[in-house]
Amino acid sequence: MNWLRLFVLILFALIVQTVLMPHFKVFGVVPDLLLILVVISAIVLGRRYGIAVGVVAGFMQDILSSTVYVHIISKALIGYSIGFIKENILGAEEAISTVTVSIVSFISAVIDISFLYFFIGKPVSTIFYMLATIIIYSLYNMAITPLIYPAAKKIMLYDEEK
Amino acid sequence: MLYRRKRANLIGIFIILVVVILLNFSIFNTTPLLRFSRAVSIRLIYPVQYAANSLYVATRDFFVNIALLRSAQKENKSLQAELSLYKAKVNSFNELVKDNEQLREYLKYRSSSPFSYRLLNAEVIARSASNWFSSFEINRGQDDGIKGDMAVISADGLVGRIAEVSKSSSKVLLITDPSSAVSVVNQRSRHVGIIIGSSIGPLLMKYVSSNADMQPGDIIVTSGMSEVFPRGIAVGTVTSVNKKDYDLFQKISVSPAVNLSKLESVFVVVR
Repeated sequence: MNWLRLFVLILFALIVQTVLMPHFKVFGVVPDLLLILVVISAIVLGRRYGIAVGVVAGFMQDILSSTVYVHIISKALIGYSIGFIKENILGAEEAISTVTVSIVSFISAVIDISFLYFFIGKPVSTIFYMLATIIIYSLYNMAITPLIYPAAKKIMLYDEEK
Repeated sequence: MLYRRKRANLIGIFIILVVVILLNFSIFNTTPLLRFSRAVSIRLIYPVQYAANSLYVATRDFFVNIALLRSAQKENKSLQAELSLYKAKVNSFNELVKDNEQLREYLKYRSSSPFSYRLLNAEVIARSASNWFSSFEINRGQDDGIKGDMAVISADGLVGRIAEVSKSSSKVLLITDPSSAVSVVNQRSRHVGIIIGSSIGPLLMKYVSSNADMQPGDIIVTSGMSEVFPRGIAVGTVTSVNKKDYDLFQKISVSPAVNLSKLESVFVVVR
């Protein structure tokens, strides 16, 4: 996999995430294209790429969103874990379904909120709003994964297919 | 061999975790290397975001304008009638402003209204990439005289403050961000408090004593007690008040005066 192509893919996802996705909120919640990209790269390319994409995507997301670095932690952990599960436990990428993306989204949101609580010293909202947002976020990510997965996979495996 | 590689990966993850945790403490957050990498990243991404946003707005406006063309003529007539009414109102408003200025001069009172400062118009070009933070990027930066901690408002009320400035863009921290805090006052009862952001759910007004007179529907405005926000800017409306006998403070929810998710342009209060 060409690293430059992967970087451009992350940048593209970031631009869509910051410019377009805020106009497609569902109950005030936007999906996380970068998280989906981290999961897909870990599944398709393995653990090493999963961590790398997680770190770069998380760092860029943090830079553009706040002065607190939390997404870099959750995305690096998710990239590593999904790659590890795929390589050692499940073996086939088909085993990672859209349901897995929703579970991963749930875990990632819990990590983000926990670290935010640790760094800023207070919860982002009440438990009710946090839980509602996490559930909508997980379902939204799950719903759009099938739209992204084939194209992202094709770009990631472009060299091998050629 | 495989075991060694797995261990190396785990150590790598651990190092990343430690570095990131350290990054979040202010002493490391302001290191030149990190500031430089932030500035470079923002400068690289900004033109692409600006172009993508312009393309999106142009495409959307094209279709919206076609749809609106039919009703435009009818609306134009009614707006013109409304405009003449407002012209009369503005005249009487101007008279009041002059009277007010004169009275302030007699009292040697320094105005802190946002309208006594220069307001710089800016466009929103990108929004936060996360659900947990509330911020957006505007197309004005150091070149336009923007500095950190300047207040950002819209026609409806308070939007936030400038959190970061780069050459030609700035990041605005919205009042709904969890790290935002604004000193406010109830326009009716004059009780003061602090509005704390909540990126999901309503704003929370804190530190209002349990015997203070707060009612749903009350308008909350900036108190002007801080150096950042001029006084009298609408922040929101009280939606619910929860007080218990044994609590020192009330739990007050406030709905923002500005629909922050629909904002396309704002004003920066240049002080």
